[in-house]
Amino acid sequence: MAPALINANPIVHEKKKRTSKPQANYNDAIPDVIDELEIFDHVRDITDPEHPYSLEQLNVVTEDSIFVDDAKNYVKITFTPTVQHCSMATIIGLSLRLKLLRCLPPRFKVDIFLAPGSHSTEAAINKQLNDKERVAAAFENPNLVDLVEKCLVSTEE
Amino acid sequence: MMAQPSTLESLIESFVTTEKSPAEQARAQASSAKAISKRILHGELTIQSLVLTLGAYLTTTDNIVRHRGTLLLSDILADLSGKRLEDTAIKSLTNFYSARLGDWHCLQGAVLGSLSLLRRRSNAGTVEVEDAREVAKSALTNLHVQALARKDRMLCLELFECLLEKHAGAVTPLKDDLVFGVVAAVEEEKDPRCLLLAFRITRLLAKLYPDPEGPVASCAEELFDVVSRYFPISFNPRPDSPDDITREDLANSLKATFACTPIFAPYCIPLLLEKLSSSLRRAKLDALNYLGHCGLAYGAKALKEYTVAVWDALKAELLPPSMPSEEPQDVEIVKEALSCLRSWVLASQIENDSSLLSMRDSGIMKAGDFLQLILQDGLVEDLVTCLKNDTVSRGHTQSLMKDRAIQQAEGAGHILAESAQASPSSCFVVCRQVLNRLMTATGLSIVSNATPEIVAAAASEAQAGTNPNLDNFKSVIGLGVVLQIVIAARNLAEKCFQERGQSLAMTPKEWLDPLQEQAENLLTAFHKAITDELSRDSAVLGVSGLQALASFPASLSPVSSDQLRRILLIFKDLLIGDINQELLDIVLIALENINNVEERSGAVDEGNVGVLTVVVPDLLGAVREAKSGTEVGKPLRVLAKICGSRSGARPLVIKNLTESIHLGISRANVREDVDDVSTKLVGVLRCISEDILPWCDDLSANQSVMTELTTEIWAVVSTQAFRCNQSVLEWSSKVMRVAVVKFDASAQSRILQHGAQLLFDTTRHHEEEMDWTIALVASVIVSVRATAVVPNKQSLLTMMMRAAQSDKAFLITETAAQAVASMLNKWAVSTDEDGGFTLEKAVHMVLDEDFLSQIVPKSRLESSAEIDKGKDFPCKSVRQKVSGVRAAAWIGKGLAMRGHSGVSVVASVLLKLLLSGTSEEGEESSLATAAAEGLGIILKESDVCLNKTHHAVVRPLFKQRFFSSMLLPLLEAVRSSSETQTKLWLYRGIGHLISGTPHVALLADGAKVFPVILGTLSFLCSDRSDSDILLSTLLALSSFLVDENQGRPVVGEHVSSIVKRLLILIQYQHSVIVRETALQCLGAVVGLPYNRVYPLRREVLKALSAALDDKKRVVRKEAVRCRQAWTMISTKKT
Repeated sequence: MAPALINANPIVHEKKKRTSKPQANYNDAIPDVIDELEIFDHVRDITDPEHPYSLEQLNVVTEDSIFVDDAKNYVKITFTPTVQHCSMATIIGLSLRLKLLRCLPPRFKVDIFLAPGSHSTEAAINKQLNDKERVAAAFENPNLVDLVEKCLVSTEE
Repeated sequence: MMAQPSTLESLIESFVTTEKSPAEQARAQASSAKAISKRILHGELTIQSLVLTLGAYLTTTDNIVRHRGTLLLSDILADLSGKRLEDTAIKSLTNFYSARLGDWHCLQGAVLGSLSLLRRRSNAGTVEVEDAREVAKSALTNLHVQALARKDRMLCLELFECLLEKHAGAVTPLKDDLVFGVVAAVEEEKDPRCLLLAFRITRLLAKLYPDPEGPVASCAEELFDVVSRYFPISFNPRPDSPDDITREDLANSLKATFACTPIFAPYCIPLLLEKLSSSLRRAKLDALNYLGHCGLAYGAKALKEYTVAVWDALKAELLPPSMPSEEPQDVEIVKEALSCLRSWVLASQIENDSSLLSMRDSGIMKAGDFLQLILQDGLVEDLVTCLKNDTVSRGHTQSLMKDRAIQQAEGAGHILAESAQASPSSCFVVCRQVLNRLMTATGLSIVSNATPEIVAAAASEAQAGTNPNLDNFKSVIGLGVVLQIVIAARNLAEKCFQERGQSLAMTPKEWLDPLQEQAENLLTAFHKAITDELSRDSAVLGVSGLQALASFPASLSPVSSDQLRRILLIFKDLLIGDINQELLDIVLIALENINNVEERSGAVDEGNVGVLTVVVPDLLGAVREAKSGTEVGKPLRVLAKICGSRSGARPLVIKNLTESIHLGISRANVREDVDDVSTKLVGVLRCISEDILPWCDDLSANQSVMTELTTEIWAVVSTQAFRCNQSVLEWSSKVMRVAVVKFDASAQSRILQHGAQLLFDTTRHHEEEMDWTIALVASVIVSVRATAVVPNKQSLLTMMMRAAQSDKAFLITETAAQAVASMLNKWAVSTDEDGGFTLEKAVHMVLDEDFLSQIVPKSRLESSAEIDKGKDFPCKSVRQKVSGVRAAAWIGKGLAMRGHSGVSVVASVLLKLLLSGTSEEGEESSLATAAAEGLGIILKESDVCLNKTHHAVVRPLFKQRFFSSMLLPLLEAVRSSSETQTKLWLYRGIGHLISGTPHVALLADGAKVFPVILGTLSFLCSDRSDSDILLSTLLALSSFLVDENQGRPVVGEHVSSIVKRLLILIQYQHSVIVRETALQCLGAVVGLPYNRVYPLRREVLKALSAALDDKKRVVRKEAVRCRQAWTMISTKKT
């Protein structure tokens, strides 16, 4: 028998309509700055490790929980697990990191945090997710990588 | 005769036998049943003798054999449905089957047989009433439907359906037995197919006994209980299910069943009301939907006792909850609740409506039960108090009150509007009882028959508010509600109009009386809302209000023609006046809508007030009066919007615009600020050519108007004063093209004749006028039909040719070149006119030695030899030569399109020019550029000439033919040329060639073409000017990458070189779209053979991380997608 789900019955929110930018312009002279919505577009479709819903549907990440400073090459994502004791929080954090690793230019420093008060072992997980060595170690663990890749697979619609 | 029975018996035996395998058996059964029924159909065998022969099989004690025997007989009967049988035979067979229904071993055969007997049509002999009743009785006693397998259940239900539908008379006397039998048969059904049947049977049953005392009524509760269990339908069809029954099918069928008889009302409505409080959204929506449907179907009488309960339930859905909650109202539920409300109001109003129609007495229009309830509910009171009260003094915080009041008012407005929209009499009642009060409360109306004191009181009341903002805000709310009611009335009028069609003289419009009384007040109020700028939205409200008032169908309009005129004038003033863009758009849309309604209601006569008679003349006047291009812009835009689509308006507009052109000419002639006049003229011409003319399909009706227009254009071109403004010529010739294209051949010939006269009338020309005339005549030539008569072809051709290779303005040379090409393209094959000046001669004349040798550069040796000989051409300037090359290309296009061999001469000239391009600057390079573009001209679709709309002669597949004839020489040239610079020019030519050729043709020649595409990509990746060719080459590449059959096999061998070139192009700095397309192609490369793609992975990913940091978002997105694809190839295989 499969182990019991941590959050067996999560609240599913509506997907927001994709707000396409007013007529993508092809004028090279005006550069488009990387903004919150663009980052959100990258991560919104990541699948939850436990349910067949996207992080957007579960309200794990929202557009407001992302902070970008293009000039200073800095991105900060704050995510909210569906329940306080969610053991999948690290997996979600890792998939966010891997996804951004693939989608953002290497000049960015990405910080990933749990929303304050959203998790029982918040500090520990925050430390784990932002420790370069530990993240690298995690990505060398084939089981973990498998799990994370599965979250990323269905991101392409 | 002896052989037949034995064969018959063997056939029967092969049907009945149990020894074969199931598959074989089924085949044998089908064939033998077919064979026997064929014999009967041919008259070789009678049904009686068949039954005699079958006798033993039908009565044996072996269950399986008996079953098979019955089945065989049923199969044969099904085949015989069209053949006439004797009554006695039918009778005995029916009796046999109704007895057999009790024998459960042969159930399937018996039901099938009964079904095919009962379904017989009257011309082939039918079952008698008593016998049908016997079948029904037997079925009711013997069939235990619930216990059977799905297939048999379905058959049984079909049997009941057939009995109820076709033999209603026979089964009616069975009464309670029948109803109970059906309830028992239908109960607990789970299969969707059977369910659809079961719902249908229930409906038929209810139709059979509509009597409120009858058998259905006596066990209505049980019957309804059986069907109500399925509400709300939840059904997820399996994706592979063979029969496409959807949730909607089931839900609709169930809805119809609920609504089939008013007898169900006491059970149905409480159930639905109960489901309304369900937390399931689906159940709620369905309940509202069913409730509305049932309300309409049951009729007012049955609904009487439930009105209060239903209204309470609907109110709870529609008005905001008294406790402020965070969740907004569900839009869909509100919508469904409103339509339910409308149905109930309509149901309670139907009697009043019919009395409205018959008696024509507006005094009798009363509110039905439901409407009464709504009006007495205090809804209106609340609204009025809310609007009147000074709520600040009550101590509410303002914003909280605002939100709440807005929600409340919106909810009430929706309810009132929806009730008004239900039926004419409800509209009457709502308008009479509510509208007036609302208007007074908001301070919008001054009641016409009121005493002066009341007026004064109302005015003071309106001004009493200490806080003007709050006041404004309240009147905006009030106006919003009023607007909703007016719009509802308008929609109702529109509906009435569409239902009754044109016979509107008969339709009473008394129900619009209250609205008519208020029309004046409404008009003033809405107008005030626009002018006073009470709040940001108020102007929008005002415009939509006026729009609603003005867009009633003409015969049902509550506004008088004077009022309508005033509304239109308000709009016109707004349009011409100085208002912001947002409002302008809204006004434009409003005017367009009014315009559409006018056109649909078809009441546009000369005398009537309407957009055409009020707004358009003023706009035209504004155009005429306008002094400059900027002034004329706005009225022209409005005119284009309104009149473009209206056939009645177009002649008028064209005529007036022609006049203002004329006016412009006369002003220019007296040298009155020419700049302004010419910019205005350009505006007018642009409007005619882009917005008005393209709508005109049939110009023959307005021939005179159009002739005037063309005459005016000729005049424009010969006016000296406009010479300074080249765009006057540009737009004149555009108008000419668009207009002439639509004429018939004879009219075209006339215009051409006129043009030629001007052209050859050398006495009064000086050079510039000549040029303009040439350009205009050329535009005419470009657009004429092939059948139109071109006068004086030879000299016309010479003249055009000379103009085409002159150093005049680009517009003139280009148009002249197109004219030559069009003439050659449309040249009639056998022409005797002009003294046998045939196509061959014409082509020869055009592409003569002189012309070609002047544009083709000579090798040094040759030219020095010529100088020696003293045979010296007047040396042409570079510009002249370039025009010459372009002219040659156009001529080539014209010839290629009609499949003439002369194109090869042009092609070789272009090739020579490409080969001569040795340097990046100077004469050779500009000639080579022109030549490369020339290849593009020949192949690409042009939208100004030589296409279907311009009546060109087009041979199918001419592009493919030209492409394949050019490809080899070009490839050969590339191979043999040693200089990089020359190669660059050749590749540019190839690029143009590729971009004009359909991809199918490229794919067909894949193996040869693909290396060329790669070559083009690698050669053109540096220069900025090549980005267009680069893009189209990339598109060609992508079509190779995605084509499974022809493209991929070719591409497979070149993976690494493709990737190498794409990696350069994703950094192409001159064009965003090239980068984007290159990334798309790179993404598509992943689909190529794995063993070739995989080794490149590392390199590609590295390059892509640079693309992720692109300046433009579209490129970054594409890069992410591409990178995802390339990352996946490693994970896929591990």
